[in-house]
Amino acid sequence: MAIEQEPGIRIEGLSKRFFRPAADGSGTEMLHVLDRIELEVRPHEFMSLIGPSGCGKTTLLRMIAGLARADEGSLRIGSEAITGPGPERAMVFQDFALLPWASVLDNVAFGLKLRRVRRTEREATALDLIRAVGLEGFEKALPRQLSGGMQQRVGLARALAMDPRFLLLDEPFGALDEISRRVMQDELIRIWESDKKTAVFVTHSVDEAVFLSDRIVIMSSRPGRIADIVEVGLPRPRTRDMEQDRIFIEIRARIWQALGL
Amino acid sequence: MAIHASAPPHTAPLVLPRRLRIPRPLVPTLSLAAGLLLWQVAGSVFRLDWLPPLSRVVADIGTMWAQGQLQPALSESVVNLVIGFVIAAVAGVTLGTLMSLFQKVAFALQPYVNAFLLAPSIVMAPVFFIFFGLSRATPIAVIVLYAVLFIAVNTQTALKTVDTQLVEMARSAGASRWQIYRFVIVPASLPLTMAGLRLGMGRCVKGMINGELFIAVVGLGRLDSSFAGAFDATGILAIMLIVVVVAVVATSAVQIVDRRLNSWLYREG
Repeated sequence: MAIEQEPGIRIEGLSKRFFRPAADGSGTEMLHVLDRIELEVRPHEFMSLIGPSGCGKTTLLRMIAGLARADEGSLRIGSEAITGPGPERAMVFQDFALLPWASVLDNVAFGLKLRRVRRTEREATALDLIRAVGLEGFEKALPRQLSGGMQQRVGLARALAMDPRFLLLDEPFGALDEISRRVMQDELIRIWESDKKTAVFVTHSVDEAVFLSDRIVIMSSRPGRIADIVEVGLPRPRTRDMEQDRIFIEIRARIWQALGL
Repeated sequence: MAIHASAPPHTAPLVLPRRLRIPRPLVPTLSLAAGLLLWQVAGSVFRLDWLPPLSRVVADIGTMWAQGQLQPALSESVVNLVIGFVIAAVAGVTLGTLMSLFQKVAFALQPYVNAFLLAPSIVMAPVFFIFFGLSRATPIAVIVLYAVLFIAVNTQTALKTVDTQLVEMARSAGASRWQIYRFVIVPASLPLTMAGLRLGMGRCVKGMINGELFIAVVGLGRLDSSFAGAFDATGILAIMLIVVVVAVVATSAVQIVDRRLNSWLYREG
């Protein structure tokens, strides 16, 4: 792995507006979703974006993924502007976005199939990752036969199979019950700590953000701005007993304060 | 997989007393058998001209078959049906795909599509007759007209309702436009498209018999009109039974293809 000079993501003066029909029916209203965002995602860090609904954190992530365009400002990886999706970035979706007709194996291998990787090769990679996310024995199962937690394991394995440098996670555990959610957090952090791909993680959950992240970006609602950035000084590997740690508790309090709650 | 422990009581089907309970898969068969039995009994008891008993109708089919009267008509009709369905399917799926791709054009064409969907297609039969004359093309054109827009609209809906999240996922994974089509939109829209084709086949059967009745010189329709001319209720009911069988076989054929293409939907679990 090349350590030196590996670029992160630079976001400068980023603004985004949406237009939608006004609630009172008087033509269209403008939503200022993101307002001059300045942010740097450092290589190999786990960064969380947290904020109230409608603060534009998902929009920001979609722009990093190349799925949405900025109105103003720029996003760059090193010196290259982000103009669309790219092979160095892979995304994990809140509602899993699995192909319902495809087996676990085919879902995990999907990104490689798009890249025209030979079948035997992509299936070997997929099988490795299926094992890594603990789904051994479910290769032939269809998504609907799996629980939500297992489906998101597939989503995670699919993203990892593309061997991206950046892992973009859009509230990946938001659709899960609290118990599966905790299990998946442990799973994610175990996998992430093994090779530390730069991760941008959108979440609604303060505790989840503290447990997983190196840095937490707290956003305020419309227009979406960065209210605060908190460094999480907890050592790695992360363990659950750190939730009792004084640092953990202080950071949690600081985030709630920054959110104004 | 969440399995619901019990359905809410108000949505439960009519519950028969335990001793009357019939295995579910048998219910349609039994109901059909009861209907046929009723027909047989009513026909032989009341001895009405317009209601010959089932046994006589079946015997009539046997006689027509033995005399070689039925086979040419049946094969003529079935060949028309197959050709008409294939044309309607290919044209309908193509048209539906184009309508989903060029939504503005589709929107502009909507009144025409609706007009042809709502108007009974048989009114066009004389036009086809002028166009194609007594050739096989006339009934085939009627069959195609009965189903093509129906299939097109179903295909359009199938393509329009594909989960946008899946498209987004493919896009983020670097899929090209073509790959999004090939690997996401086509498989995702296939179940609804196939449902449209299955129903389209039913409409083709209607088109087949209506077209032939109108032209009255070919296929089962010719036999039917000749029986009608002779007030031969047995013959008419015989043709009706045959048409029903043709319709069931034809739709089952589409269903077999559907089960193969969308096997993931029918997998247990």
